[in-house]
Amino acid sequence: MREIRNRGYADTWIWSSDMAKRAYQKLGYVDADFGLREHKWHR
Amino acid sequence: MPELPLDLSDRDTPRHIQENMIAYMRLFAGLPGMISYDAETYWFVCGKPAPGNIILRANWPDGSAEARIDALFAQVGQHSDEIGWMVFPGDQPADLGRRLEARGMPGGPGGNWLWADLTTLGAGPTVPSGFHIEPVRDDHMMAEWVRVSEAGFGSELSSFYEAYARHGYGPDAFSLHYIGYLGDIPVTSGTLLDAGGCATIYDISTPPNFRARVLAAPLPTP
Repeated sequence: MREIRNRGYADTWIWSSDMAKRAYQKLGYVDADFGLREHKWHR
Repeated sequence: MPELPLDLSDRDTPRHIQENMIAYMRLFAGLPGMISYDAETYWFVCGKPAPGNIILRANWPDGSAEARIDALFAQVGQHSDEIGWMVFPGDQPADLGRRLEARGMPGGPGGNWLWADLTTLGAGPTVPSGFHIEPVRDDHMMAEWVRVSEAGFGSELSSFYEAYARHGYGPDAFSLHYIGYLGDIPVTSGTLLDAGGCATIYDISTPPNFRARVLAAPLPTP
């Protein structure tokens, strides 16, 4: 996160597994829903 | 969900994330067994669980969308029996998600996206004694990064070595990789992708036998 800040960004994103979510929240990450939705196609 | 000091009503944020994810998949383009299409749509198919099969962009006129969806599935179906389709707010037609649902493809959240404000970054978490993080600087370290990641994710990731080593490690690199060590033992790994207007963290993993000790460190377990 410090490297990202050193690159000039004021914020950062992470795509977390369910398992890791709590660990990242401890680092200051919060849920952010910007409207991305996933659909699954099977033959 | 907590209130965010972040305006998600404009399209910049999802567009940045979309471009960042496409930049990530492009790192693998052209490697053996990996097929991608990068134009008005972006899709990527590989014969391995990672980096996986994914559609990340569609930009079609309203009137031709149904035929284009059919054509896209026909193309993808030549290489895979399944694929995920991430629909972003800026994709066109604007009702693309509803069209996919009408085809029997219900939509759900596209992963757990977490955001952090770096302007209020604190002192950082407590780390185990002897823990330190090093950037991957050469192919030897990249191979070590892959070994840690394979142990953490429990899957074969040789294509990640090929993709990341091909991208390189110089000052122009936007795909940056890190290894966390306990002393001289590699115990965790991660990737920072500075692309598309945002910096996003991917690939974080810690082998099971180190998770209890490293979990509080800055590169937590998957």
